[in-house]
Amino acid sequence: MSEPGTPGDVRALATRLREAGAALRASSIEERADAIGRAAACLADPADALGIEARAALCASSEHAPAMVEWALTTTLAGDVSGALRELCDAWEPRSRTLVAQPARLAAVVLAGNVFTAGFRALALPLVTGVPTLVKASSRDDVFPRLFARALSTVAPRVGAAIGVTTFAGGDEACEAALLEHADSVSVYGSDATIAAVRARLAPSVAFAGHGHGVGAAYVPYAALDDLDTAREAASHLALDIAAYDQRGCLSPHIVFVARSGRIVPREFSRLLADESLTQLARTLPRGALPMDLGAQQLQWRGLGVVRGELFEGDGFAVSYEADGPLRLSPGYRNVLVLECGDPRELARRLAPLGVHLKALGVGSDPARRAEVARALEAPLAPRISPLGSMQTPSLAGPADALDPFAPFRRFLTLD
Amino acid sequence: MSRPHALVARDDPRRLTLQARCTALVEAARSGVSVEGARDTLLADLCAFQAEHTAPYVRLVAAAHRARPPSSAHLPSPTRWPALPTDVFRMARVSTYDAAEDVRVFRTSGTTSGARGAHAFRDLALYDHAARTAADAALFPDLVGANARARTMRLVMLAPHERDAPDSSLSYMLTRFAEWYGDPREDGVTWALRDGVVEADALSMALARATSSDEPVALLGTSFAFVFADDALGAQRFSLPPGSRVMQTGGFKGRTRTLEPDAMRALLSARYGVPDAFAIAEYGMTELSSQLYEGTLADALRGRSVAPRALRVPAWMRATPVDPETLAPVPHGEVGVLRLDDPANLDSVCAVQTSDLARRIDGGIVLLGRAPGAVPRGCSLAIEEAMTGRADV
Repeated sequence: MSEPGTPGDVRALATRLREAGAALRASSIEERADAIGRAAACLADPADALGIEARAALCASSEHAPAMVEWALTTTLAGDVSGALRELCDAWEPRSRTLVAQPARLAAVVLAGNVFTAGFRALALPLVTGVPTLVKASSRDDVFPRLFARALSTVAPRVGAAIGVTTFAGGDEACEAALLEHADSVSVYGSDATIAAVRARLAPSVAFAGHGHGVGAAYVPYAALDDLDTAREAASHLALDIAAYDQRGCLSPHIVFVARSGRIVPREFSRLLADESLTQLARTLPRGALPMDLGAQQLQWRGLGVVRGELFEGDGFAVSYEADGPLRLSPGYRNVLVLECGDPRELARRLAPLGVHLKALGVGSDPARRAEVARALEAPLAPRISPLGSMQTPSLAGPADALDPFAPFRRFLTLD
Repeated sequence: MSRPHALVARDDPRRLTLQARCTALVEAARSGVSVEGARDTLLADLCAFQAEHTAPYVRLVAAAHRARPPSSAHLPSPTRWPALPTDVFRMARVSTYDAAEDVRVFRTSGTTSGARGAHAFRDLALYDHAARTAADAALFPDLVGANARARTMRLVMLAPHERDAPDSSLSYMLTRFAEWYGDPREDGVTWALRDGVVEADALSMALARATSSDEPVALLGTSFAFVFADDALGAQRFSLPPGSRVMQTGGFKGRTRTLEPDAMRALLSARYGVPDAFAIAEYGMTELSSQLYEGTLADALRGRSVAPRALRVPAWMRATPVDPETLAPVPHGEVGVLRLDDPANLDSVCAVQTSDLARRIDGGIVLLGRAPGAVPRGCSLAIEEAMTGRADV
């Protein structure tokens, strides 16, 4: 963790970034996407000096196990990052010749601290759009954005000059004012209260995007419960969704609805999930340290699970099978509730109380089942429906939170 | 699955025996003799009894013993029987008997999800015995014993009377205190909180009466009521007579203004003019029948050197910070999640798992606050709040 910035530091950083904006805008989307991709590759590479530093620093700051940090860096940053960014830009490029996109002059991005790699997309989008980016990192964890900024400066100094990272305590009004005063684009990742507080301080002309509280859920339809092997496969994929980031993220499933009509009944699926899949992951992708306050919540949550249904516990995880019980959210850290459910229409009814907070829905079986579920859900439920096993690895090329990914970073000039 | 449980009659011989043993234990603790062995034996017997008769505990014990047989050496004896999480009191009846026999049901204050914990009683004799014995030792030691100069004192309550809050265990206890320790004169006991509002005039007059008559007063209430009172009293300051004391209890759940314990004591000392040692915290829970108090007041009144602030655990209770994953006691001085074993919980469950973080020091327990909710839990709470009214969370 770095020393907190002063209002003067934040203001000076904002000025420097705005000045770097001209050079950034002069580069092409391809150049910027390439730079971001090469910086990501540095961090993803366990042999690169920055990759080595990232692994050590992120294990300490995130308190994830080394295997989890490795998994997170690899699944987020390895692969064709620049290609995905170009694809995303192309998909959202206005097709009309009468529209001219104009990038914002300075984006202020406020990051949360629960999932360290979530910051990558948040920083890559304004930069690839040509917007210099002032990052306010979580005061608990600024390691990833600082490493990314360093990697970018190393591989592409012109792009790297357009990102700066600051940290200060939440509620420091002078620093917050300095952060926001020159920004014409503001994105906030964090609690609903944080989002509301920042939004209230902005002038009406500032473009804003808020990414608030969220959880994920999963649905295992009867088609994924036809026989033991199929159910095992679904449980194995689901276990990865639960274990990833130790269930600390907004995409992490807290509740699993299992169809009543399958040959493998929900209780048996719960047992498979715990005794086989999560047990296996406890060895290959172990959970990180459990903070004491979350441990206190876990004790309550698991105890209630025992009283309401049947609890399958293992090394650093628990599956609480509660049949037709009510929705209840777990404290995370690999504690998941299993409820019985019928068809997708019943699923939609049962998920409705989560409203806009349901950020991801994993669905077992084939694409037809996902399409069936998508038809049953009403907005604003679940902006993303994905196969089990990929809930935590959304494509960089798609939108997030059901929003236009570039909305806060550019405006359009109409040429009549 | 667990065995079906049988309800226990009030005059069930086993119950009566356990009740008598608990009464004797509390009495023995009052006299100062060592009761540790008798306490641990009684707690084990109570757990065995409640594991047959208290439905949620029947299930918890069955599951725990499947995972860790009680005969195994996996868990040290203080935690061999599992403790029932306080959340269960919000979701299920925790009782050995039928609800038709209830004489009182205490309920927790509202929670984010709206459900309130409930603790039912069919007999309050043990509750009263434990509450009085603990208060005799920690809050009113100068009013008991052969050398006591007085048996009662002026009381001012910053909490509702039990008739205004019949489901509040704190109001029940304070109303008993008024009967047991309150000055019997017409103006001897003042209730200065009504309908959630501090009656500043009544409070001010009661304290002024105590000051002008040079008679010590005990000011007892909730933490947030003291904060409200501080706002309501404006510039008024008091210099209460020697021997006056302040007891504050409870946190600031859902309140807009919160104070750390040191700041709260500074506020109380400055406002009411009582020495720091005479301002103590009480720790009670709806789910318990016994209370814990800081020991500084008792030390000062008895002329002993004042020990570091800690909640003194009544000898009939057991307070054990545990590791949240192994459930084993954490080493002395380390932080754990507080488990409380209270034998006065005869007809519910004596082993209670709280959400409070605590560590044991010489002389008691230091409470570090309720699990504050880190990022993921913060998400959950906010979402549960949004779900309230739309689903049974």
